[in-house]
Amino acid sequence: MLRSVNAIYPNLQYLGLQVWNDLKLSPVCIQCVRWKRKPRWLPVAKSKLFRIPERPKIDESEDIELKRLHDRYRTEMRSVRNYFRQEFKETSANSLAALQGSKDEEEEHLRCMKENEEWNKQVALLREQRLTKIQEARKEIILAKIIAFEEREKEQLEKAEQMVREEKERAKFYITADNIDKAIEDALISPVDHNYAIDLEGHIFQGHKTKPTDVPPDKLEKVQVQGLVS
Amino acid sequence: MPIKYVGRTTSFKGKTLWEIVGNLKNFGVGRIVVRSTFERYPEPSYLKICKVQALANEDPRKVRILAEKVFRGRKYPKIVEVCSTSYKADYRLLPKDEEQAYCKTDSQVVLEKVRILPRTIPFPPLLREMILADRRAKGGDVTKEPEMEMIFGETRDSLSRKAREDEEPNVMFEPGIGTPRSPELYANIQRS
Repeated sequence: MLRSVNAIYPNLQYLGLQVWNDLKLSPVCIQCVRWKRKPRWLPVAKSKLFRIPERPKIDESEDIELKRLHDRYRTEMRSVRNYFRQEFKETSANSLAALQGSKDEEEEHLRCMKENEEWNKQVALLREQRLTKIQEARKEIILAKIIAFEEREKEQLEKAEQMVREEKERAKFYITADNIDKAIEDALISPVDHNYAIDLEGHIFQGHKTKPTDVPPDKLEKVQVQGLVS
Repeated sequence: MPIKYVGRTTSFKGKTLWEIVGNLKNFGVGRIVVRSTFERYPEPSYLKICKVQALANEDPRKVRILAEKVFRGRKYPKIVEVCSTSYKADYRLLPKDEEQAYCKTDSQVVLEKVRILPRTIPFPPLLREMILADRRAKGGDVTKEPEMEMIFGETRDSLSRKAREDEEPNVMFEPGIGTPRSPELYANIQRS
């Protein structure tokens, strides 16, 4: 169905389009119609049931001329199609040219493979050098680590041995079953008093029952204050 | 009672073969039957009945007939069987007294292909230019005119065939639209 462009023109103008200048629309607009006639499976309409179409009258001279033209056209087109078919056969996969082409391709592929192998060899050489270098570096690092580890072990052993030695030194003064009586006696003889008092100036007075007057002023100790006192 | 035909008209004229043959003595063997459609040709076309074979009652309008066939004044070398077209109401029995006059022909020749058509013709103009351009691009010979090989639909009854190698065609394939059969249609047209 054909519809004049004027019918849609106002809508486009509404959208702010200058149809003729912006879109360059052709003056005829084609609208598709999905069903033009009744579906094929429906019977003849009742009103058309007894209508007999008139036998078309074909002009005889026109008929023979059209037949001749049609025959000519068909013959020529058949020949043209045949030409294209032949040409396609020549250029298609099984033709001589295509076989030659595939052969060339094969040769090209072989050449490419050779070149690729050469490149691979060069790259392999470079890679080997790089890998040996890395290996050397790694070896050195590992060696250094082993040495460091051994040194640390040695140090720790030394330390432990030192501790053992010190403990052995100190073991002489341990209180054991043999000398416990003596230690008790010593403790009884010299009691230790941990109590102390502090005056406002921070002087320490040792002992539980020490009076401020008991300590001579030149022997007074002061509390050591650590950190900030606010 | 006059017959009143209803529906579309047809170009057939006459009776079916069985209608003719079934009424004749000995089923009309030896008689001559003419197909009306073929009477448009100037040369005679007819069937001379040799044998009639009735068929089972599947299609009552059909009958199998073996006949000598002459088409457009040319006799077929073998006897022809007519069965699939026997139901067409297009046959006419030739009266015995007309037989001799009707079947008389100067050239009772065997069907021979007398029109010899060309093997090749020039390409259509645009295709020709394309082929030449293609050749030029490939560095081929441009001076030689490309020729398109012709393919003709070959039928049993046609009088024309393609020329053999080294044979001169006697019918030319003119370029363009060729020679019109009805020149009066082109009377008012300027043709170059």
